[in-house]
Amino acid sequence: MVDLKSVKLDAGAPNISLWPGNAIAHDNVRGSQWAAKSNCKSNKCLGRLWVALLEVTDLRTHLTSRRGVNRAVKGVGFKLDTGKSLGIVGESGSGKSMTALSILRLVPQPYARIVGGSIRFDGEELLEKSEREMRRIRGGSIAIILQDPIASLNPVFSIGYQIAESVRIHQRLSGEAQLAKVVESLRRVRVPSPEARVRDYPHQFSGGMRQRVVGAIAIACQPKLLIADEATTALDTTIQAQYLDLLRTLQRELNLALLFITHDFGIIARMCDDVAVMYAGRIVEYAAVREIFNRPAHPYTVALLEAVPKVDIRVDRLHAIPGAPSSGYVEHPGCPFAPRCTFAIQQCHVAPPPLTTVAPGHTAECFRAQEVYAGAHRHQDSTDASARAGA
Amino acid sequence: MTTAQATAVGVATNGPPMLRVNDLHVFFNVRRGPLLRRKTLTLKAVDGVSFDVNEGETFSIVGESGCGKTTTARAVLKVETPTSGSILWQGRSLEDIDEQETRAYRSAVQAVFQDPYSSMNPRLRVGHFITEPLLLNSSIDRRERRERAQAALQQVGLRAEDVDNFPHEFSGGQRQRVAIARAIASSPRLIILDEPVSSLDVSIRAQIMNLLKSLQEVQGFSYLFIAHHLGTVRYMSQMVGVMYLGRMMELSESEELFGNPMHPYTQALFTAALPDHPDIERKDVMLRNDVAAATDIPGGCRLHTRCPFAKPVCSEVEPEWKQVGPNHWTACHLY
Ligand SMILES: Nc1ncnc2c1ncn2[C@@H]1O[C@H](COP(=O)(O)OP(=O)(O)OP(=O)(O)O)[C@@H](O)[C@H]1O
Ligand SMILES: Nc1ncnc2c1ncn2[C@@H]1O[C@H](COP(=O)(O)OP(=O)(O)OP(=O)(O)O)[C@@H](O)[C@H]1O
Ligand code: SF4
Ligand SMILES: [Mg+2]
Ligand SMILES: [Mg+2]
Repeated sequence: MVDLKSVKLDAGAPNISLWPGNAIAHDNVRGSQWAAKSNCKSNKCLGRLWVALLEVTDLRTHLTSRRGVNRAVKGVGFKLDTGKSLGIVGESGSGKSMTALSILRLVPQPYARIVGGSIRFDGEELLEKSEREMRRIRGGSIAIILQDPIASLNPVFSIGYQIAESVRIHQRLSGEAQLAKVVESLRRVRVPSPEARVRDYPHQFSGGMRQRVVGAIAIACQPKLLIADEATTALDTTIQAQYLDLLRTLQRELNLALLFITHDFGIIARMCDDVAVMYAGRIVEYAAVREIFNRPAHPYTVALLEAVPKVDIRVDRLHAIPGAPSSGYVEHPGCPFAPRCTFAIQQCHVAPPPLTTVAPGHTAECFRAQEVYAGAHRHQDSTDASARAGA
Repeated sequence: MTTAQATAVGVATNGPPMLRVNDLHVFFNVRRGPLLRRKTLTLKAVDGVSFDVNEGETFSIVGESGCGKTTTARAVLKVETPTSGSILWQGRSLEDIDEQETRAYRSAVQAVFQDPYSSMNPRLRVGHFITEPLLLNSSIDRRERRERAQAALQQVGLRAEDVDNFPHEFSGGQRQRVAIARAIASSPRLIILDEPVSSLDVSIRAQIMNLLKSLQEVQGFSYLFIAHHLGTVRYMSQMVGVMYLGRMMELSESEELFGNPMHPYTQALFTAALPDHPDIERKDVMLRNDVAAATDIPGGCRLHTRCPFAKPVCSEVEPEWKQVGPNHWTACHLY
């Protein structure tokens, strides 16, 4: 296996940490397009390159408060292609939302700041864009759906007006064309009789329908990338299932790239091609979805998967993770998960763990990733679960 | 019909139920509609619910938001007065018991809710919060209350010294432990757990569920457990009731229910449940439309407007409660 620590990266690039995205860029060509001509502006490639729609490199976002500096995002990197879906999964405070907000340059002002890294979208560096250019991109080629559909709609305007409003900012259209666009986006999200409903107000819709309207606003301007941050968490089980189906269909119809942010492995299992597991501001493991479920290589991923009670099998005792998630205020000399980790050895507490590639496209930041990947320490019932699932 | 169901549960599990809820109805009058033409409507929050909770067992209620789970729990806690139906504690109706027995009941039945912080006074040490239920019992003096609080804190994995801490000094998971300490401090028989882990992180959730299970094993508590996450329900329960729009749709021994869901609504819930693994394919039962309003419950079977298997009779006649297996009942015209 290649240890990425030994791979020489461009010496001129400052502050290069070994982030999972690197490994993906060069190991994993599944579903990617190799660029026809070399228009690589990053100077960071090792030869051949492919240009992903979204390429986040060594992103660092800090928040300053009375308690000090909170390193919410500590060197995050990943790539996302058109038509693919990537899930970012992790517990509360791991930095998932800050990562998403950083991509849109919407981190809370004035105390949050993107202090380093690069975000390339569609071949352009978003961190160099002016605020005006960013406004055009937000809701245009990048759309975001947040957790609370009620908060994202204005109760005093009809939903038709609100969808048209987002179209107006990004496209110059006549009144008629605009209405057609609004009706079309409502139809796309399967709102029944859209022509009749454009004049209705948010309170006239049920919770599930309201979330669809938020979806209609998001896709009205034909985005290339759709970010969903806990977009279905507040929905009921059956409504959530309908909405997730809808997002999958839209993704196929519009060839969207989906960035799905969630704390729920069930959503990852249903929605994503690739998975990034976040802990304490870093992506600690990255792999294709089946790899993550069948052969996790990071002790945190193993522990999370075993801590979830299963719907499809009977589990007698859950393997709880001791302690509580680490905070971004604390600097760890070693692995941030070490205090809770059952695999931890002495060096875990003193040195940062290396990024280890355990299989093509599968990386984990852990001293013992190879052993964990080999599965020697896996508990019985989780093995049963994947065996059963595979059957 | 509902009494027959309750009786059948009692017989099947051998022994008198500790708690019996019998054909419970809880209605609210609500004012709805445009400002000037506002009408008073009857909202049927609980509309025919029966179940037993047996000694040392967990009975879970599962169902989507607004189906009446919390209202059922509040009726058991005597916070909400039933519109009709009865709640029996060890065979005696709560309506018939006198003041002293009511006090004993209130200390025997405790509750833990989703957000414990909102019920804690931020200016009082958690010792106060934990010992509040003990004030019902005048024979327990101050020193003993403090000792009991310390013992309870240790049982939930916190330190005895924590009695003097304030709520804000605890993390979310620790606060839920404090709430559990309060619930067990009065040595209750039944603890109502209303979404106790829903707002916690995955890793903390497992800690709390394991704690609840061990406490039950050691101290023999009964739980009335309310949740919408099916995996959590399967992990915690012996018996499960599935509610929809105020009514029990299916009631079964837990493993039987997960292996063999009968009611279309239960099947739809299982279909919609997020998979444990990307390769899991579920039987495909999808409901149409959104859930009806609790002020306007459809006649016949209340699911018929959404059910993919609905027959003409479903919109006319409310289905009877039928036994479909040992320890398994459902109300559906398909059976
Ligand atoms: N508006 C804010 N002001 C100050 N700190 C914040 C703010 N939002 C988030 N943080 C902090 O930034 C860190 C990362 O938070 P973030 O919201 O990205 O986590 P998350 O992974 O999205 O968690 P959750 O699952 O709870 O949404 C946390 O330590 C959090 O406390
Ligand atoms: N005091 C009240 N006055 C009027 N309506 C009420 C009252 N309490 C509850 N309701 C209504 O009764 C119905 C059942 O509510 P309940 O809180 O029992 O549902 P639930 O199953 O606990 O839902 P959730 O999963 O969202 O907690 C809902 O329609 C709710 O709006
Ligand atoms: S580096 Fe060490 S402490 Fe961190 S996850 Fe791996 S084994 Fe555990
Ligand atoms: Mg978040
Ligand atoms: Mg409730």
